[in-house]
Amino acid sequence: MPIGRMRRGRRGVVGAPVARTAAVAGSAAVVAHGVGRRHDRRDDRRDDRGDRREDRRDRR
Amino acid sequence: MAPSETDELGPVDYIVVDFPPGVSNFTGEMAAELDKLVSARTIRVLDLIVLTKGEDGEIDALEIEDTGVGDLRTAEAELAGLLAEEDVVNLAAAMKPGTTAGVLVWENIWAAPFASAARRAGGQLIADGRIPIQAILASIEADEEGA
Repeated sequence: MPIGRMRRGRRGVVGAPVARTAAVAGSAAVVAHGVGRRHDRRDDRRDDRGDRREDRRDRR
Repeated sequence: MAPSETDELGPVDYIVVDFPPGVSNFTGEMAAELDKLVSARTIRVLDLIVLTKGEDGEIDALEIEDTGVGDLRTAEAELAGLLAEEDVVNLAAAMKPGTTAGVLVWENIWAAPFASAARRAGGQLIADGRIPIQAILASIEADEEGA
């Protein structure tokens, strides 16, 4: 294995043989879409909490 | 790298990107995108090598200046040659025989000021990691099935 002289005899930083990562199945756009939908759901939950708080205030 | 620089060192990551035979399509686009990140001081490239693994498992390591892969002048100027020979062997363990892979090691310069601020506030890093895209997709799919 021809390798640069500067790399020989030095302490490594990676530590152990690296396992192969599975190929990415989905595109970043799909992930962004899904994360966006979660964001919408979080906003919905926040709105629900706000509505409940107002209901309680009205009842008092 | 001088000791004062290591005080402000951001998190360091690496990737090994495999280019199976017949699929590779080098247009220089990767080099251009990398150069943009380096020029913007978002990252600092600490190492960049090209590995080939023969059908017999023999590994060849090419230094980036010997490959002629795109125009990486900005990145090349800062290369620290971080990886040692044993790292090359460990990284090549992820490769299939008969393939070529690029290995990129970089410092996340953007994260260094925040890390320093956390240290000055008495914070200690106790865990870090990367969430696989597959796990995020699986979680989203599970959400959609349950919706």
